[in-house]
Amino acid sequence: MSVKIEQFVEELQRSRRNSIALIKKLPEIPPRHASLSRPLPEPLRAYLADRTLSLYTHQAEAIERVRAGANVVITTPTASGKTLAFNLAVFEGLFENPQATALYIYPLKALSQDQLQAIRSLEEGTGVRVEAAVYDGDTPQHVRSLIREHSRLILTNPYALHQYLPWHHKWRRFFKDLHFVVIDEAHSYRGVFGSNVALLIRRLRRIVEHHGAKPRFILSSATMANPKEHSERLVGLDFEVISESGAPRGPKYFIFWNSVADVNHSVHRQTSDLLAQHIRSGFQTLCFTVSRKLAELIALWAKEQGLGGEIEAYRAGYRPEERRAIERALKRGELRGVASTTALELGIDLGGLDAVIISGYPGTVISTWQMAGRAGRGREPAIVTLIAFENPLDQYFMKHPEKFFERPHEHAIIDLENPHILLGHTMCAAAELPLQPEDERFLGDGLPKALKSLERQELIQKTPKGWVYRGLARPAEVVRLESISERAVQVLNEGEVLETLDLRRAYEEAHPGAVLLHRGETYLVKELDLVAGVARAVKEDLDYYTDALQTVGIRVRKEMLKRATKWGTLSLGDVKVVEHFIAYRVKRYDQTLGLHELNLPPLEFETTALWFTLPEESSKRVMAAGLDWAGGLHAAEHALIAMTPYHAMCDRWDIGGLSTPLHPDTQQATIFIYDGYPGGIGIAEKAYDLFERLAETTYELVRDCECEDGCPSCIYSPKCGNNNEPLDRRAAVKILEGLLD
Amino acid sequence: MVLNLDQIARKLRERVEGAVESELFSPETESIYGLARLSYSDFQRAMRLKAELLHEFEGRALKECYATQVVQNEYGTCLKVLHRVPMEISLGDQNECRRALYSELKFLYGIGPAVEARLRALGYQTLSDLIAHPRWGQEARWIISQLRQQDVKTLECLIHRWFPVSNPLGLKLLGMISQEQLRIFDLESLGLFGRPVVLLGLARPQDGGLEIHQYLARNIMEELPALLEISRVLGEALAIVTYNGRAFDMNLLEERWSYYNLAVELDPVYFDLLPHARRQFRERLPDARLETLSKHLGLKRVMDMPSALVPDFYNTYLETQNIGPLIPIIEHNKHDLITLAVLLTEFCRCP
Repeated sequence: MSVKIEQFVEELQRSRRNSIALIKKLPEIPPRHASLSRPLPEPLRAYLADRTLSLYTHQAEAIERVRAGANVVITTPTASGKTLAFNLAVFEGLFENPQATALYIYPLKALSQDQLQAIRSLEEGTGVRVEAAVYDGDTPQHVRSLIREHSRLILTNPYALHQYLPWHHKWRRFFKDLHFVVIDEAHSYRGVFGSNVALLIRRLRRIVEHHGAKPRFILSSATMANPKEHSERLVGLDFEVISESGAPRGPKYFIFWNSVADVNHSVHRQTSDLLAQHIRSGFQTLCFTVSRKLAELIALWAKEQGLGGEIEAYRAGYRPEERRAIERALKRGELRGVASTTALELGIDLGGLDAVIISGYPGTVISTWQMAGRAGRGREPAIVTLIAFENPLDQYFMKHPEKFFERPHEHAIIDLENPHILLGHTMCAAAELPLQPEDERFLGDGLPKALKSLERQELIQKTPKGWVYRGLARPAEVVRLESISERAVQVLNEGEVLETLDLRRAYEEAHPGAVLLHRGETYLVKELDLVAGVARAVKEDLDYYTDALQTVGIRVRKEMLKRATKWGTLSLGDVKVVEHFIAYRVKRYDQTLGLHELNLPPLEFETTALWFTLPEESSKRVMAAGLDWAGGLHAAEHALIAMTPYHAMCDRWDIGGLSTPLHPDTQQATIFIYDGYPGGIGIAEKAYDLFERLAETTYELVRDCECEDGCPSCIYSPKCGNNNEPLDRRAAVKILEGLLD
Repeated sequence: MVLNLDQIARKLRERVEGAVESELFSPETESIYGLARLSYSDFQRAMRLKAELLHEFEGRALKECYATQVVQNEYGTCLKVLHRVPMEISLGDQNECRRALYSELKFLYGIGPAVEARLRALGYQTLSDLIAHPRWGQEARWIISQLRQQDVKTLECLIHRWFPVSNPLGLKLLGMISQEQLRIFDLESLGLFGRPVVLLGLARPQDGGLEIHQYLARNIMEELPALLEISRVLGEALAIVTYNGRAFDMNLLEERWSYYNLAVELDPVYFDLLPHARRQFRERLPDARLETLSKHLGLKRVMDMPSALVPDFYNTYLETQNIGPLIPIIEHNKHDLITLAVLLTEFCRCP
């Protein structure tokens, strides 16, 4: 087969010369092994010997450092054996001390389920009994106390932990001997979510210490730009970094495929054709798509090329057992191709695949490498193809493919001082155990002030045993780790639940008239009942699909603060972000068959935003120079959003923006930057405060960028709702210049 | 920061208040905890009651309304409210209990309803009859040796190893316990869990009546002293009777003890009347809420308030320092304890 992949790549290069922007061969890397200063306990040693496994250098290093009592973060690439490294370190500890316990935290439920299988097989293979179990929202009530009482290795997720910490007295047995906390996929904890999890982990440490334990932390991630700093901020302890991988890698061909070269087929058709071609050549292939519908369509179209039983779609919304079945079939090689959303990007062990197709740049370098890491089986060769869409962001990488390899992973930012987040978790902590002044060492030196404010609002009260929570609602219910729409819609087919969607997805995919694709079958949605939270669909054999169109607007509800600047007024206030779903397109393959009106109430959420209006002179100046005013505003908005994380300590995905040449509430050209969290989370506030610095650095960024007409480093946004159009870099420079003194 | 901490804390408080409201009126509260969801008309009626009470008790003190004692311990003070209710309480007797236990053939491993019927038809009515039986004799002798110990805890384990919690045999065990060693317990709190308890009510049969002691936290600081006090008085009990205590009252109590890091070791026999009530009234009553049972038993409530509003009433008391809204909490708890005593007697008479 090794010849075959090379032949395939050569053939592709010949036949599709126009589509291929670059083929880069990442060289083969030989393995490096190391032995331990003191051998592993016999059962673990025998387990490795039976499978003729010998430790790679980074695995040995991880075990040694954990033995020495250090907190470690392992950042070697995907499929380098990070999981085995920390599992061995933990199993050694659990073997030597039969009371010892370990807590594994995964960002998603599906990951803990998947890892449970790996740990159970290690348990069986070594005979070291840890009674591993998953404990989360899906754990049946009747086994919960059994797990708390008997399991020595529990896998969970941050959302569940947030709910269970107040019940710590039921976890006493488990917590008092907690030796290890493993946090896998640690790069997921960034921005507001990461800041919330960082404080959650401090709450965990406080509770566990109360019960008498001081666990070591083991973090793991394939894609971290700043592992030491990020780990230390996430956990609040010192960390040692293990980044030198000893694992081998086969040669990997990284292909940049530009879809615009082929004018006869849409990018989605090209994707499904390429997927089918891979499979016909015998390569087991995972194809990442940018949406759930595209995962379904690409799988469907590839199947139509005579590959019926070999391809499946995979996405959130399938029932867990359906997902497990697909994962298993993929692992066993029965399935030859899967078109998936990002649901398969993280962690789930699929074994190595021959090829990965990434249809559409996923927006971040981290995601691209995570997806690419799925290709490669030991030292076998593998192919990764990035298929570019027509938008400027994707096209940038086709024009400058080498730039992709130079780009660093996005920095993970965590803000421990955000008062919104700190107050919330202080309240949660007070409901778990009375808070003491010494708890500053967990919650930071902002604690005394936070306590005073909470006390003044009668949420906590000082007692001889410390500050006690006295509000009437459960704090863990009020404080949320992530902004998730709570309203769900069930799609029913003949009275059975086909799938459950959050409200926004339901607007996109289950509006009346929508064709919902589920595992290759087509269902026509007859009705969306928002009051009952139910959509009714009937199975029909349809040869078309639908695409909902939406527009976003912002209404100012209350201006809280404003200040005059030399160029105009900067405002901060409450706004309502309103999303209208106005119509949907009916399409067959790449052809639009019709446009139908939709009559749905708008989706709205209230949050905090900063906004500023631009004076007439600004537009005159831009237009006088022959530049695009709207494109300039749009580009300036994108660039401001790109810079905001560095000033307001958040992630780009935590904020949203909108720019318009004429806004109904301000009657002028306006740019908004808003918090992506209902009620606001302090980002726009902080940006308002630091606006001059934000404007200045943004101006410098756009002015000094080495690109021609814009690039992902300056004005291209990975989450633009308008496909990064229109954008005018030079107009943006002029606009931003006007914001400086 | 643009907003100061107090403004942000106020936003948080608003969210807390919003969450309370949705918990109060949510159908989930009902399905998970078997509590009544509040209807708006109940809510409005309760608010009217609260307003009247605030007016009526303006400037008055609890000690004018009840017999009270300030309790002091190492963590501070709380208030004990005392009541005495004359009533007849009977818990069945030892002989009857023993008779019931000895005639339960299903104690033996391998005997189900079918085998039992066959054995009875052959004349085996009690465990003693089986002593000489070739197949069951050995097992019967072992069970009898257990029954002879008369240790209620052992017997309770034995019963619940074989029978569901609603089996009437469980209640028969009350006959083995002297009334002085029995406590009826019910608490009022500011939430289902994770929030303070404010009134801990305890009743014990004494001298032809019911002695009720309620430990009241007059503010949040008094929760800890009240918790310590109740741990001591519950520690004296051999048997604790609750209504849904397995799932709620004892659970919450343990959570609060642990929250304050109080080391409490209780080892009584628990009698949770909820499963028995469910079994007995399944066909006669729409639900097994204590309020419904109390009405069915013909007991009149002095002042009715939905238990879901205890937090609201208590908070009004804290804010106004007017004892008015405390009165229905105290009465509600007292009435629940009385209902349990009546129910207990009822069950022991005809389980």
